Amino acid sequence: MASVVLLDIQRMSSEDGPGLRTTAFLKGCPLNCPWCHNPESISFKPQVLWHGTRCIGCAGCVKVCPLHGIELKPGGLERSSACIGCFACCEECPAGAHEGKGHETEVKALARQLVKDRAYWGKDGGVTLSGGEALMQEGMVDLLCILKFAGVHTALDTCGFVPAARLERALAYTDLVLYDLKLADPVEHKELTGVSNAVILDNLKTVAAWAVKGGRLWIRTPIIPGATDSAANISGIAAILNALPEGAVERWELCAFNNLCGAKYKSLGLSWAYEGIPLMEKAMLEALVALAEQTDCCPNIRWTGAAQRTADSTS
Amino acid sequence: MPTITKKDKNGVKIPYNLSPRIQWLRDYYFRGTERPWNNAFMPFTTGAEWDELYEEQTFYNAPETYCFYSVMNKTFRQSAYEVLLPKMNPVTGERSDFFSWSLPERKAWFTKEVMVHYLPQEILPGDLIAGGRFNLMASRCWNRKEAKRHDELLHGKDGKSGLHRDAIAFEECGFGNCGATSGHLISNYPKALRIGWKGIKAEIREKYDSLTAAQRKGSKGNQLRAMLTACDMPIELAARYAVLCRKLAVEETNAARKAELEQMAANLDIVPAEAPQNFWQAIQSLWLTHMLIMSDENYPGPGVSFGRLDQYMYPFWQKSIEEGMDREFGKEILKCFWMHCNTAYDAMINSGNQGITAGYGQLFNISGRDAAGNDQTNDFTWVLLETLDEMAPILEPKPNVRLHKNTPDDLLDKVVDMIADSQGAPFLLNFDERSMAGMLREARMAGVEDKIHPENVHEYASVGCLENTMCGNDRSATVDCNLNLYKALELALGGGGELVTYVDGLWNKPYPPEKNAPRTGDPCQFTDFEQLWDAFAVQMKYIVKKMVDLYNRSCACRAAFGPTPYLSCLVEGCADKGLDVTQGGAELSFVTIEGVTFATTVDSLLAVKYLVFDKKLCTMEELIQALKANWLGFEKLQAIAKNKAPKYGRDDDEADALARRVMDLWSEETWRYTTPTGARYRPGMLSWNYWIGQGFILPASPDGRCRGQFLSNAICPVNGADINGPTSNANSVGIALGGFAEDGEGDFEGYLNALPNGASHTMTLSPALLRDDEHREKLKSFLRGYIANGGTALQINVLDADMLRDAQAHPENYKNLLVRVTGYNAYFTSVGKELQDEIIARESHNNY
Repeated sequence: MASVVLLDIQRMSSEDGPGLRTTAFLKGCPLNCPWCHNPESISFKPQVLWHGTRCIGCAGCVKVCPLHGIELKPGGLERSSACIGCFACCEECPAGAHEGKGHETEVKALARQLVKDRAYWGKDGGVTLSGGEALMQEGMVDLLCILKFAGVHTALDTCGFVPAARLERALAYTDLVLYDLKLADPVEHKELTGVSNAVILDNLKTVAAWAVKGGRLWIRTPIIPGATDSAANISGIAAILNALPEGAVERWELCAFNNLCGAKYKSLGLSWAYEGIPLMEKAMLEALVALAEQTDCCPNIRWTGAAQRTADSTS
Repeated sequence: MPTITKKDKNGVKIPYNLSPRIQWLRDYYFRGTERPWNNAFMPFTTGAEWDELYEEQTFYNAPETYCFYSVMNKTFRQSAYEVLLPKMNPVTGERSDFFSWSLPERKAWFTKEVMVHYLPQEILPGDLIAGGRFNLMASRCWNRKEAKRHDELLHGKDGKSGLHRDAIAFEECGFGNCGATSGHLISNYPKALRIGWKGIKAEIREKYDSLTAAQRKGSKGNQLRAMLTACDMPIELAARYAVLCRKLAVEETNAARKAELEQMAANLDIVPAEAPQNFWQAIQSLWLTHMLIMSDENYPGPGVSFGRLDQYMYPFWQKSIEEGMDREFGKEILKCFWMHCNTAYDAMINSGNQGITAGYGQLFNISGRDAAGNDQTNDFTWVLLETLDEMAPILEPKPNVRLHKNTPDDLLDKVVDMIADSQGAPFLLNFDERSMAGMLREARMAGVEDKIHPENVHEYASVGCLENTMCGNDRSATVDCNLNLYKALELALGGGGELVTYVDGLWNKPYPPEKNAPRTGDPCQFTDFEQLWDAFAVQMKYIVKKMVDLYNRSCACRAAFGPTPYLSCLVEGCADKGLDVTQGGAELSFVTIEGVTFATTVDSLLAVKYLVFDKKLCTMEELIQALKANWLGFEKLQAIAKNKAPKYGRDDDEADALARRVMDLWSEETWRYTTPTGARYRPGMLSWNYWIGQGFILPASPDGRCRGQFLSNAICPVNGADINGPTSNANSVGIALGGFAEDGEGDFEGYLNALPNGASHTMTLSPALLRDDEHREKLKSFLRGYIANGGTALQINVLDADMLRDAQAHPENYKNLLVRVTGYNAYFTSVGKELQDEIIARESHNNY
């Protein structure tokens, strides 16, 4: 049986599709968006997150690192960037200060984990496969198949930059697709995410065709200051949606930029381009939703996530 | 029905839809010590120089009271009003000296005399329900010989031994605490409403008349005569209040109020002597009947609960509505009743904090299923929920909503709305299927299947907080015994000895080391985990037996010296047997041993197994040294124990299997014992505040906890151990209780439940689940999942700004606290101060 590289399982997730869900985050993504909220999900390789506040200073990790890449210095512990993700430090650390991400997991065993909350899913909850990019791993189709045959409601959260054949095979076992559309303009897309959106838009057509034949499709757009938050981009995406078959898109979510993940970049020893950028203002998000609604591209458009309270709003 | 929510500037809910009358009564109540009127204890004595009023045993389960007993005893005695004693027996009419009567007859007469003729009767402006003062500190009514015998039981002939010393030593040496405590039961209120106190008296009279002359002279006759006297108390008291209402009506100038007072008098002419004819009379009857039960044990009876209020009150409500009663006026009556319940707290009003210490737990259940699984929600269920919502925040009475597989969506919507608006549930949720499974197991274990069976088990209700019992015939004694399960592991690790020296709380004098625990061998010689388990099991039997031996003495003392004739009238079985409820008169008599420190014990066993036997990271000797040193100098080992060893509460099959094993071991042990009054011991899990205080007494534990840190609460996982979120936490709890039977039958509809008395489970959820209708649906799915997989009772808290601020100050307690926004999650404690502040600001305004 196939295995996959797992990042995390989030149980009782309320934000990854309808109902309460269990979300499996897979490691590795073909895109490289500078605003990524889960930077540890980008690389396909195993990685170690470093939580300095948990360290008790026992220096056990210094001794076990095969690369001698960890040093205990007066200012605290330093990890070499040459880390190969062998997790020796994670196993050794008594305090969980080194946290290994990206364990190989056998698909059947993963499926057993994912259905443990079945009782809580209610009418429309289930399992969401997310990432990174779930479909970059071949084992995901097997996983979807196992879940579907077990009667589980399956959702696939994808960036769309995936092999078309695999996507088609996956759709056969999928109830809902959460499809990311970040930027309408192919040049900007290439500039910011590292790839053009051509493949993404092609695959979107496949998914839309599947949606009108009984599937469900939600579009998600991260609203990132200075990157995707322009009126032009929202109108551009709306135009893409309007070109899809009537009724293909059930919902479009504008996911507000969130600035909490700076700590994760630090844990990975990385700097983050958006460090210090404040949350978006609620009024601006509402304006983008209003703009999108004018295009008539989708019956249900909403913004999600956290926003700054504007001076005049009280709650 | 839309929920109207108003909040003050700090986000605290404020009451709404209150009439000027109710607003005034509520405001008046909250003026506390500034009120000219209150319901503070009033002490009364027989005048005998040996007289005593205060029963310290009642408080042995409240360690914070230990140092006040002698002061209480003296103060109440010295400030007591003297009552003129009678020369004639009220039932037989014979001339005789008061002290020559039996103790129950003395007690019944004395309480009635004081309640009717000494305690002032008063009615607050606008109040629609009569029955003001009831907090009595009445004489125990002992004669000289009884007082001496009681003193010997408590203090020994030498004044230095006896129950007092042993109960305190038991607690201060970390075993837990126990004592025969008052309250904690549901008396037969539906019967008082069905046939009135005249009807109850007639039944008892018939039983008395059928006694032989010899029996009348014996204890049965004594008890029944006492109960006959007690039956007159509510009737005579109502008559006094009727007179008062008429007097006030004459003086009243406002016509509307005059009419109300006249109607109140007319109500009191009928109830509680007879069956009520409408809703107003039913509530009046219920209140007078209930308040006298609160006072029958010299304590505003803790956990004196109402049972299934929406079920037995519904016919009266329905009748009055059909006869044209305005729905809002019906609620007005109910709101007066609400205010009366809160006056219980006035008992110690002058001792600080307006007398509010712990809750009195006048609990009522609403909704629930019938035997076939049909939902029993009715219009009055909704009335109670509306009243609660409009009056909140207020402490009493306490609602407990029964959920089950067929709970209707609209009720669940209301429950979720109320959780959202109160930043945490203003009620406990009880889960029928798992609870009923426990009750049926109890019936089997105790051999009372004729009294609790699949056809009537749905008539169960909860007492105090969440303790499941039958109604009207069950002496449930749900908080009398509180046992620290971790003590058994301490003794196993000490080979029968203790790991630390325990000291006397007052003088810091060391207690002698434990001598009587079985010698289970040097744990350093154990070669596998099973040997440790065997030693633990032997010590578990020892600590259960030790508690039983101590409690049996306390129980026998109460049976001999603490009759409750009034209460006994409303508990089925007492009249038939001619026995007081404290003597085993009830048809069902139980004493719950509440298991405390469950998760700490399970995680500690898991840690020993992981550290010493599976991973061999240290020797048993090193681990014991570390515990004795309170982990000082063993920080690395402690960190491994905390962070690497498996834990209960994560839906980890292996860890939960051990939890189940511990549960089976200790719970089965409790069933082996019976009190001298014939009450069966049974298991439950409710830790009140012990998990905090006992953490300073019990030594460090192998799960990495230091002495001085909190223990685990009831059936909850150790704080912060549930890193996989609420669903895995709930799954673990369900599995620890027994999970599901493989044969599909189990104790009830496939469910298994080792804890018939219930298991307290508290969970904190993110406010994100409450932010809009779509998310409230998600919370509903969670609750439906809990009905299927979880435990017996759940308190939901909502993560709030205060908690986040505490997490900021004490990150070590919250290292697994996840904050989640769309598509992103992070540990709160790892995000840095500035962002923490931002999250707090956001949470404070619920602006997710």
